[in-house]
Amino acid sequence: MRICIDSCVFIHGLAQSDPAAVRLLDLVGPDLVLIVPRLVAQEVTRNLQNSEQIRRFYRLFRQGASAFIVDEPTPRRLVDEYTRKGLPEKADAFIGAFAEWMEARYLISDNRHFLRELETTAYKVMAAAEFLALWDTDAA
Amino acid sequence: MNDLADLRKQIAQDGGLKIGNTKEEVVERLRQTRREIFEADA
Repeated sequence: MRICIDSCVFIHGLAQSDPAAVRLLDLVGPDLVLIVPRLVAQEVTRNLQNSEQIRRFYRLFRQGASAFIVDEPTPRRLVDEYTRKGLPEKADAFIGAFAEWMEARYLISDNRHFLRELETTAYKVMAAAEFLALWDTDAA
Repeated sequence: MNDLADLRKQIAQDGGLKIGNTKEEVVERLRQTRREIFEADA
C-alpha cells in the first residue's frame, strides 16, 4: 500500500511527540510504502536543528528503502482541481494533488484543512491514529 | 527505515525540535514553512 504523509506527521514521528506518528513511521516498509513530494521533505528539513539531523533525514530515503521523495512537478491541472476541492491555498492544493497523482491510498495529516475541508474520492484523508486503527484491523 | 532510530536519537540528544507545543502549533508552523517554500519557488 502506498501512503503520503504531511510534514506535521513526519515531524511528530521524528520528534516522538505523537505515539501514533511514531508508530506510523515505524511501519513504513515493503507493505507500507511512503511517498512524499520534495516540498514535504523541504518543510521537514527546514525545521530540523542542524546539518547532521538533515543528513540523517535524507538517509531515510536512500536506495533500497521503502520511502521515496518525488521531484517531478505535480500536474498544474490537478493542483487547480484541488483548489476547487476545498484547498484554496495553492501549497495545500499541491499536496492534495500530489497524493492523487501518486495514487496514494491515504494522505495522513493533522492539518484540519485536509481533514475537514478536502473533498476527494481519490484517497482517504485521516490522522495517524485513525489510520493505525484501520491498519490494526486489516481494514486499511 | 533502518536509519529512523538514529535520527530520532540525534534529535533527542539535540534537545528536540522546537516548533510548537501542540499539534495545532506544529501544523501552523509547517503551513507557514510550506507557504514560504512554495512562494519562493513560484
